Amino acid sequence: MVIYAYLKFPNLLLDAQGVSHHNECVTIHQQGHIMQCSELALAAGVIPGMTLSMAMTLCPKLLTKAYQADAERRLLHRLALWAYQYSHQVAIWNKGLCIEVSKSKSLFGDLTELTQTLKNAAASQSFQIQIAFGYTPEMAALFVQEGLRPKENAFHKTLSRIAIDAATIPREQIKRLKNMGFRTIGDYFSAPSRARQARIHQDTFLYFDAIAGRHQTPLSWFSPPPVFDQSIEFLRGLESIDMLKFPINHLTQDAAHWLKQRLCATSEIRWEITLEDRNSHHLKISLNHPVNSVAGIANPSWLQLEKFFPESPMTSIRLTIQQVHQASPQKRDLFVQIHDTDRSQLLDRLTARLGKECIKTPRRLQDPRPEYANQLDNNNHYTYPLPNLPPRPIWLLDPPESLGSSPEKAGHTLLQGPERIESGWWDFEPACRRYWICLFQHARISWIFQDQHSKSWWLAGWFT
Amino acid sequence: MKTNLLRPLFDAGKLWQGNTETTIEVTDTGFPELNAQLCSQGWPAHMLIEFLTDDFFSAPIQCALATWQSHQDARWIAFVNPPLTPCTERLMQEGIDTQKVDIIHVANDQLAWCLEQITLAESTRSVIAWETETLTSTQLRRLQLACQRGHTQLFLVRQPVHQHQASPAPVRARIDPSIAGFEITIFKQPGTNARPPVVISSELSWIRKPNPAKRITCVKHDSSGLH
Repeated sequence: MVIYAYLKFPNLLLDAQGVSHHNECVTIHQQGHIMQCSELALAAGVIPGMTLSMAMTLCPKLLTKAYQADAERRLLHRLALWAYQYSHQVAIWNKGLCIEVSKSKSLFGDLTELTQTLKNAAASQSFQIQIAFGYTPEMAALFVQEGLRPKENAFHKTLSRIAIDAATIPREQIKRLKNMGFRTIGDYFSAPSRARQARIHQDTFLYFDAIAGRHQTPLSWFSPPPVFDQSIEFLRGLESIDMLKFPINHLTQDAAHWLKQRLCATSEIRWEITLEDRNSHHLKISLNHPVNSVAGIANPSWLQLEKFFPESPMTSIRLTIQQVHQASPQKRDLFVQIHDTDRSQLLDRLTARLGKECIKTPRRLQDPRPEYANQLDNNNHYTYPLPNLPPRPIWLLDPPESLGSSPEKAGHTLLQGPERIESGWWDFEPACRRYWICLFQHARISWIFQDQHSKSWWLAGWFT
Repeated sequence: MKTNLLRPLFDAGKLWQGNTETTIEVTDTGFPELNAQLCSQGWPAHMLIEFLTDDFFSAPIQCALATWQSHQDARWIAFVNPPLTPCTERLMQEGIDTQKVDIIHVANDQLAWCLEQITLAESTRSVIAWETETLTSTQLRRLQLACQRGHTQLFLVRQPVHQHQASPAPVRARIDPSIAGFEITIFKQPGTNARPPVVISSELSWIRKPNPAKRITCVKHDSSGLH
């Protein structure tokens, strides 16, 4: 039989606001009434349902934040994305998550082990969860509401003991059922089905069938969005860029999950930081190699963001990934380790902090003129093979240094040569030169040339 | 008892005694006379090696090129803050795969960070860096640890003024120019005491007494070098 897990998030509204509620008295309110409050606020006497003015009287230091349905929806989507790694069937249902887990059992162990796995994973994400299982989402939700987590073989037995008051149906329906003599859910199901159906409202009848696993409510299953777009808002404006570490870590973890679930990698990530003065700072990071790991996204991002000095406090941060590539599984050789990932991460880190211009690769072009043949390039282009050339110096001077009309006067004694290079007639930069290897001041070996047009001498490089 | 506890560190080449052979992995220096001066017959493969010299252009790069020629694998090599532009054709003549060479220029205040990142990467085999601003002892220690972690060899070219200052680099060598080439004195290395200087003949002597095969190439090129 199909088993569903229902996950309830006790601090959903507080978490949705990006509020650090563990050390502060915080409440979420709507239309003047408290909807959710932090543990410290509870300790101060504030309870959900209380009016805002009453709460402020009880706790003058209370931080209040208006309920935002959109933030709650965004967080539930984020949580669904997180839960997607444990089952391919996840639904956002009843302000929580419903996960079909019967197939996940073979991967994560029995329901007890799965519970522990989910709880640990949620703790690592700094979320509190309440979890229970059932044959239907309604059954699991009822168990969560009652704080029960029966084993699979005890679902019906546990359900039959629950008081009829626990049913999430209108109060008048509960009163009616009680008047019929039903004290527990077990009492209700002990009556003949046809008799019950004739006497109670159809919705109530279907609800009870659902909690007993006799009726399946259609669920709309969650699928990962085609574009990753998540943001975190801050209750108080953040003034230092160091304070962004935690939110960036959260967002990059989610992005890495999303990429892995889609078997994708990205080479372009975009950050948007909104400031209190309504200005936004956009940052586009191009990576050298598609990545889908947390470190691969977070490290270059952080190195770029470190350089940012906000003019006013930051109110939100947003991460968007639009370009994705199909990620191919890493090829592993039994004996040789390929360091491609390590290399691409190094390049990402260096270019993020030092700029793209800092790293160059030498390449050879097919041109007889040394200044054109020896290039340093940012992109790893093709290098032409080396023809049979006389020895070249280790270092090149760019541009060559003038030695005047006589190399001897400049301290260069001709040793070996000449090597004639006559080229470049096609691009209007003709070169007609004679290259010599010289001894400079009895110590160093130089590479000089004489321009055959101007008869002037130039220092082109050094051998030693 | 204590030796047994420390055995893994000795075996990993992370700890050594001053007068005993070490088991550290080495790379051939490319010069037999220099190999003989080194305890394990080569430069340590995963350590920081300091070259203290006034000659920033010649001897250090010759040492690095000779090492890279003798030991090549699929990993990258890097030049950090080279004093001039390295010649691609010369690197190819030395048999180095130029597609696996990085030429990196960094600002003085970023040098230590950049070197740490490069040496930490296992994709990097060997690095030669020219110190543009004096690195602190802590920074050098971090670089040595990064070399060990990333299995990278780092040749750091420094001014000779640092010779009399303590350094966490396990290998330190003073390089001085000489008539025949350059004189190298290894005054600190794992597993042995300081050694007397050794003279390495440089390219200077090769050009004065050219290799017959190369001499023919040059003569041939004199007449056919017209492009």
